[in-house]
Amino acid sequence: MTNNISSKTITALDDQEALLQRAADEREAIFNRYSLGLDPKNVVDPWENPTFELYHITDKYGFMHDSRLPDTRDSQELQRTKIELERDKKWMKMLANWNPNNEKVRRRVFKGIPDRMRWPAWKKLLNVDELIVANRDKYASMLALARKYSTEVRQIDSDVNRQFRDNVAYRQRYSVKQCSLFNVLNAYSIYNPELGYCQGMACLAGVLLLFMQEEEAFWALNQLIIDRKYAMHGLFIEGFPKLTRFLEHHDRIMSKMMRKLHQHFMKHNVDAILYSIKWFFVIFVERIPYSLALRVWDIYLLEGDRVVTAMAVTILYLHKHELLRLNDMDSIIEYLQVKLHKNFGYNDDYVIEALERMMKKLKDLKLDVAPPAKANEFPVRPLGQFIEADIEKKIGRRRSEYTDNEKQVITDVILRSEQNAVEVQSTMSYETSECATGDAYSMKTYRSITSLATSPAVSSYSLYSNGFVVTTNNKLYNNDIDNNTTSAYNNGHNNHGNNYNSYSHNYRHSNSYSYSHTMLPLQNHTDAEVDYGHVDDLPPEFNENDANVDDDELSVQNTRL
Amino acid sequence: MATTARSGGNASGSSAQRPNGTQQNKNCQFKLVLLGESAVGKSSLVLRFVKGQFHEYQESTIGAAFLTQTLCIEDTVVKFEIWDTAGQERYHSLAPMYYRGAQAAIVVYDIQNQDSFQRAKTWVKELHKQASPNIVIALAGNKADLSNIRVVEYEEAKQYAEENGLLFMETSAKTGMNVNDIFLAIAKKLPKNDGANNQGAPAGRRLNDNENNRQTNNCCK
Ligand SMILES: Nc1nc2c(ncn2[C@@H]2O[C@H](COP(=O)(O)OP(=O)(O)OP(=O)(O)O)[C@@H](O)[C@H]2O)c(=O)[nH]1
Ligand SMILES: [Mg+2]
Repeated sequence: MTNNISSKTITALDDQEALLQRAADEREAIFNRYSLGLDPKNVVDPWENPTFELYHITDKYGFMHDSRLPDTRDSQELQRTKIELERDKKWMKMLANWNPNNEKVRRRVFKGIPDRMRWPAWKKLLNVDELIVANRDKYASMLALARKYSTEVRQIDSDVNRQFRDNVAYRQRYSVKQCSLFNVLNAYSIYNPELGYCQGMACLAGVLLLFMQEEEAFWALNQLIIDRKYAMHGLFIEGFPKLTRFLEHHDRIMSKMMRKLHQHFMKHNVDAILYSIKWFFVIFVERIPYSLALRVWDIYLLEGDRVVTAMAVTILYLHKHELLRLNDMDSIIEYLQVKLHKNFGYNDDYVIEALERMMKKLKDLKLDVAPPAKANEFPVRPLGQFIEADIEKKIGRRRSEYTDNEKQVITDVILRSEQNAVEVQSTMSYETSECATGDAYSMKTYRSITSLATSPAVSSYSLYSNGFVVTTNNKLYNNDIDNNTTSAYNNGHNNHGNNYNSYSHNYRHSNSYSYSHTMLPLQNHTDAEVDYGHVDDLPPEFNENDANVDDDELSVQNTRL
Repeated sequence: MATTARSGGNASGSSAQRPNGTQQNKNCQFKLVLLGESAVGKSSLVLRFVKGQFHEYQESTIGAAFLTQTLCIEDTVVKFEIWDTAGQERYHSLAPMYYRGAQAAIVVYDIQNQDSFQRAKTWVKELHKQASPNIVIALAGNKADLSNIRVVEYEEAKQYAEENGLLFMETSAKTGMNVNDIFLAIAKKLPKNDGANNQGAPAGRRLNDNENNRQTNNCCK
């Protein structure tokens, strides 16, 4: 990006000096503010500091709520506290003789790590103490370098200023936790320069810091990003290759396990990328209630990214009937982005049980693991070796062109939604019952899908004008570096038939995944009602119908095949 | 501006009610995307427009967020489907996904930040090149409540907007200044002639919008 510097005039170079100086001054000024922290000398614009409103009620995680939490929680809370006290003891013992492969650990993690034990337990799961010992002084030196060279200060500063301000730990500008968050992110951007900083990382580090100290959170974050189990590096780097890969896998699962819902979404142009970015990037934080997100984090830390895949499907599965009733894109997206965060409608234990069953089911179907990553999802250079950023980056100048990587993403993203549309179209033409009625609604849908699927000249218009080439889709799984994984993907995208057959076989002869009445005891309804005030998304016919619906879907597909 | 029009404001529910053959209201639905540098106030503008609120600690946007709001203009009910995108450069590659098929865009900059104004210009260029040819673009100079420490002059931005055929207003998500107005101005500029669709059923609308059919691409009766 600096290679055309020769064409610049002297004044441009002078400008460049000035711009560099300006960036350095800005970095210095911002760092100084965080160093001062809560020192009264640190003058804070009043608007940067929301006033503490004491009538707010703070929950046990430090999040503030507009009104009093319902009194009914108190008795339940008491009960839970009792149970947690018992669990604390067991966990202390278990942590003292830690063995993550122990079945007991697994079972207890699924039950939920007690709040007080999350600090030591997460550290164990993420290997934090060992990393700190093995990398003595590394964090401090990265932080010192960041102070001099970080190019992400401005973005990090503006994100720290907006992260979890409804939590007591982060509420006050330049509070201890805000400063830690700022430091961790800046230091990390130096430690892993290929990643730098991406919006979303503040949320991850923000959660970790609620349970850990600064240096611990740094290494925990690094584990999430680098360890192959989580490998979030590929999610956050330019082009988001892992996001694309996981979205494709998500679509694949949807089209096999929840055909009806999948088609419903496609009908309303609800592409997974529109509702699931936060699911993948920040592991469901702010998309489901915080207490439930922590439970999912517990399991994620134990089992890795297959948990995210399974949880995504679990959410849709549990809310399938509600979602099928919503007949436009905005209510579907609103439901998934806002409503489920406020009120998930099921209690946490129930959801986690469903998640566990879903993980098992996906495993049976060989859908639990997404296709293997390509090399571009991992850092190339060793971590922790300082590399000075190029001038453009230092100045903070924006690129005006898309990089090849980015062009690829755009192509992939658009291709994926078109593939989905094609798939839905081909299925719909067999769903005679739906199309033959000829009501305006389904006809229109049909037409629109046709317009997308069959007129690339129209739908790819913008792509061509930018020099992107939309290629055919069989490349999708062919370039994997990791060919030793024998998964259903080795034959590329086209073995639908085979996969499908084994799927339907499994489905019909396995009971492991039926939500029978016994798994949704009446008591759960009541619990949920006490918990959340009202539950409007547990249709009475939830269980029996469910199997039927999917059976229908299967037979539709059988006709097709 | 917009004296004859009434914002649906917080009472969007009532203005959006479906006439059952008795009223002559037209219903239109438009896809609108917000673009601009991080932290210029895109999410805040949307929050102000949709919920009438301002949060100092508005969370930063990851990927994009989706909201809707309805406005009334004379006898027409206009529903905006709003895509609020993330401003960090890294998310830039997802933007086409959101502006594809959009009938309107608000490109936002922060009047105390020159870089964000440059960035806004780049967005405008990209939209002119890549988005639907008849997209309505508005430029919003946000944080107008901080005009005592402004860096981008009103006249400079206004002239740029005129040269490029953009609507232009300085806004403040904090005070609410010009927020409804900019959406209203867009709504007025969008074609609201009768189209082929009826009932405002959303299915397929977006996809059809990709067609370069100027007459029928965005309205429903
Ligand atoms: N004074 C003032 N502050 C504002 C105004 N609008 C937004 N802000 C503040 O500016 C900061 C950024 O606002 P956001 O709405 O989160 O910005 P954004 O453009 O959505 O940023 P990204 O999501 O990162 O792309 C927040 O702290 C807001 O409180 C405004 O009109 N006046
Ligand atoms: Mg935002």
